[in-house]
Amino acid sequence: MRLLWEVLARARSLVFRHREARDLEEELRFHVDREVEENLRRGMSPEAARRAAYVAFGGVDRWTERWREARGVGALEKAARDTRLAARRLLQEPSLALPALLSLALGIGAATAAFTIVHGVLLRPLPYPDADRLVALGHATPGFGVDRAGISGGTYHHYREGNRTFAAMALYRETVVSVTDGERPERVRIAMVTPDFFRVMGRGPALGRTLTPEDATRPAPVVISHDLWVRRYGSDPAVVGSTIELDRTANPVVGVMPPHFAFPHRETDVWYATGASRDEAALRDLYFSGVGRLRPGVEPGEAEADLQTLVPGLSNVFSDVDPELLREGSVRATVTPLRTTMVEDVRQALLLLLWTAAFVLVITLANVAALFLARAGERRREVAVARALGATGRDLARRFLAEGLLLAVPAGALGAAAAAAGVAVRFGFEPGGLPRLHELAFGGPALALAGTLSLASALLLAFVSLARTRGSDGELAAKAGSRAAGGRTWGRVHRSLAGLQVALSLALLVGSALMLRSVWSIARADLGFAPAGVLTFHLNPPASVYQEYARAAALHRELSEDLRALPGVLAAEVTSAIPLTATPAYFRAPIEVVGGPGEDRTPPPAHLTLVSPGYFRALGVALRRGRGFDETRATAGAPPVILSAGLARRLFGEADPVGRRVRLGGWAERYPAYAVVGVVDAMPGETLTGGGGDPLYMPAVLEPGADAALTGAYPLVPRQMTVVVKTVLPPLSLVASVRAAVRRLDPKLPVADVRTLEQVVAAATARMRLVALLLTLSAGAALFLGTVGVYGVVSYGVSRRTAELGVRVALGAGPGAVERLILRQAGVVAAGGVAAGLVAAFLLTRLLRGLLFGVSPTDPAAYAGTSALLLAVALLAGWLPARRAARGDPAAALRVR
Amino acid sequence: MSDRHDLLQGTLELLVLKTLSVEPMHGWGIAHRIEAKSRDVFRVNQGSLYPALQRMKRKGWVRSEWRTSENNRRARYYMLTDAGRRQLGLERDAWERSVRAMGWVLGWSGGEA
Repeated sequence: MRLLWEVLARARSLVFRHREARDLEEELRFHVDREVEENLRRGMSPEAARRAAYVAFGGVDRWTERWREARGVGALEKAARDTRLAARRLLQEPSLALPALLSLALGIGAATAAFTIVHGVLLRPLPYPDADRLVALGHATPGFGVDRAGISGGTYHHYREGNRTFAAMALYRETVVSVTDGERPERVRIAMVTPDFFRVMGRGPALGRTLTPEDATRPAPVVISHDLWVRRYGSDPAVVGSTIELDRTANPVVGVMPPHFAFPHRETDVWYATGASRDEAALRDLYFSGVGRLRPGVEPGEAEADLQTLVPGLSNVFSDVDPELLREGSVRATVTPLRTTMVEDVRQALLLLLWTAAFVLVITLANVAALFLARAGERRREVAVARALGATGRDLARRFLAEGLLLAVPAGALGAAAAAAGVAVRFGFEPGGLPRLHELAFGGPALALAGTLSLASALLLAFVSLARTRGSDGELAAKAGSRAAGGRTWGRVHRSLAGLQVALSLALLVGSALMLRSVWSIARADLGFAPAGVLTFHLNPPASVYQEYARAAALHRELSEDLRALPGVLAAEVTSAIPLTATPAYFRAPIEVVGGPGEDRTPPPAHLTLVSPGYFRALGVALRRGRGFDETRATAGAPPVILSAGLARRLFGEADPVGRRVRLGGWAERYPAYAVVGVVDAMPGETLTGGGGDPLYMPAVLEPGADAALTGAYPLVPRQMTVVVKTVLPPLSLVASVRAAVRRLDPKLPVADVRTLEQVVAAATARMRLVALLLTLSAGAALFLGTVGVYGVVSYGVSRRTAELGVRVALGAGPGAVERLILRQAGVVAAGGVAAGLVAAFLLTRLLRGLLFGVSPTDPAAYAGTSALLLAVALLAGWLPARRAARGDPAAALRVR
Repeated sequence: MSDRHDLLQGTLELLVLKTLSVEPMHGWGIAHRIEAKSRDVFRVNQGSLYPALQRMKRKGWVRSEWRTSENNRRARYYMLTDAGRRQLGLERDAWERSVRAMGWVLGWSGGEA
């Protein structure tokens, strides 16, 4: 019977917690007041009386601590009880716990995912032994108009013998060849390397051996990649010792590399040796790329200085180089950490990703902290009662920490799981969409980050709750009606948190607006050509078979004729490179006007492009001045060229360039001057944002018996060409016919890189669209959270001022006046947030440089528009609680203490 | 108050039971009465008193109701139940036994406290 009574009593106290708490509070307050009365009766002054009462009251902690010790509650029991209490508390308030959990999960997940990417791509060392010793070698020759050039064979030997800072050096050059044995000819990436290449990289073979200096013979022994071995030879170990037919030549296979050896390109499948003979090369044949392994303890800067001392000695190595030339070209050796060169073009975008994720994390933390702040204010009474019942500051801290952990740990786990899932699907990137994509892994560092963020969030929430309820025991002795003592400061903190959220949301919104504008601009941009209905593919007739100019020209001419005969085909033309594709360095050279300075002092770089006569027509590129290459004839003795509009403007300003002469500089100096015969509309070069120089068009001379003077006049020859086919049919429906046509002319010639021109344009904008998507999603989440934040802060402010508002209404203030009063608070928060946000936006958008198209990072419309949007949304969020307060019953408001 | 907690807890409950056996009282009144009757030897701490009252309520020895106090304020008054009265008797006997035993141990001829 006794037991039942106890159980019922406990149950009842559980259910009627709040009322019991209120009752106890009132009882304790009575006690203190009565004590004060007694003290006054004893003759103390009012202050002394109150102080004595408080002091007596405040002695609770010491006793309760000893009381607890006497009861012998163990630490584990305490922790279990705290957790249980915390869980019960959180479950009682799903409107607090659930949004907090989801917000935290979002913030922690975003931060972890961003960190995984940045760590995997930018920070983690390359997967080679002592990878921080690996560097890329090259030259800068600004005097020749080339910022980034390679190394020639003779230079390599000179450096290799004279340096003091390198353990090993190697050269490599990439190209693409066809594997022509077996049923399926296939194109593979191949690297020509000097033999110590493998020593530099620090990796040995999985099967067989790597290359030695004796291997620089023909036919060249080759090493194949693990991927190729599995793909084409079914992992058969007998491949070592057999041969592989590359461009119709049988090469002995001497080794297979282990998996994930992917240098210089992630798809490099074959390596073969070159001696990089020092005799044949000229200084200006800077076509090789260099890679080196530094000696232990040597910094890249030191190595660069070391090589620079060897540069003057190049005049002794090459007969055609004198110190004058070296100085004119400002030839400089460059040594860069290898990892930097591999990732530098995504570095900016990744930093943007990291900052965006950081903003989102801060916003979610501020959001959850504000939520807890508001609730903690309402829990002061409960905390005061707990203190009166014997809870020490430490007990309370533990309970708040338990609450924080109970929220933050599952949130962190959820976020980490989401990030891990993202890694598993490589975040939806295409292979090659991101450097080192295949190395991405969700590992220790990511888990550590998620864990740290969870713990930090829990501590933050506990701190907020604890700080807000500090000194609440004095509260009970305070006069009735003054709710939330010290609430003014905390109100300010709460408003600052909301303001912070607004600020960061604005930054993300501005970034998103700019990127969306860019994507929109690109979609509507006049590219200068019409991508619709065009199929493109690449042919690479091997030099060994198509040695003679006439043979390659004949192939392309005949193929074009065959393709034009296909039904539905309007045009078939060739070019050395279609717009928006990457090209080797020797497709660029500086160009200057003959006979007088051009408009630009320094010769601008020109992007050399061969085109067949009907190319411009096929792509819908308008001719602005002069004529096309319809008749490939020399004009007054000078071979013809056509300028793109951008190049014409840079060289000649507004003057008519037709009839004028230009010539190439730098490495292409030996070529004759050309006559400008026409100007065409500007077309993009390698990238949409204009890197790589404006195009200079040269004719692809394909007619039989063409003027010999013409065929040798240009630096490029029409062998490796991209074919463009303009059709009224869906372009991809022609693929089978195209392959058949090529096969008829040369059965061993593979058709590669089959794409529509629209796909090419889409690929060029892919990164931009990805960044736009990222920013828009983040901005959307931020806007939502920021709105909730403003709503919360105004709601809370209203609830604190209920009595005051009731008085105002009773004294005759209309609902409109009350609304305006409350809205002013929302307005202040929003305005402050927007002001700070403009600064944050300015800083964030600096990272967008190079990604934007048709809009500047400080575009006023974007800033103004998003600020207005955010202000409007924030005011709306404040309006709802304002309206509710204005409609409230003043009598009820007054009654609430 | 002495430093011996078990004695403290049991003593307090006994004192409260005794106080309430005379007349129903609110919390402050109980504390004040004990201080007065013990001639200020015992100072009752609120941090001990209210938990004790809660415990005694749970065990069914006292019950409470809200009344108006002597200074016209609402206060919670406690009163003994029949079980409480019985418990008072039991605890008093136990106390006296302890005191006697202490006396024997200390060589003190016992008397009543």
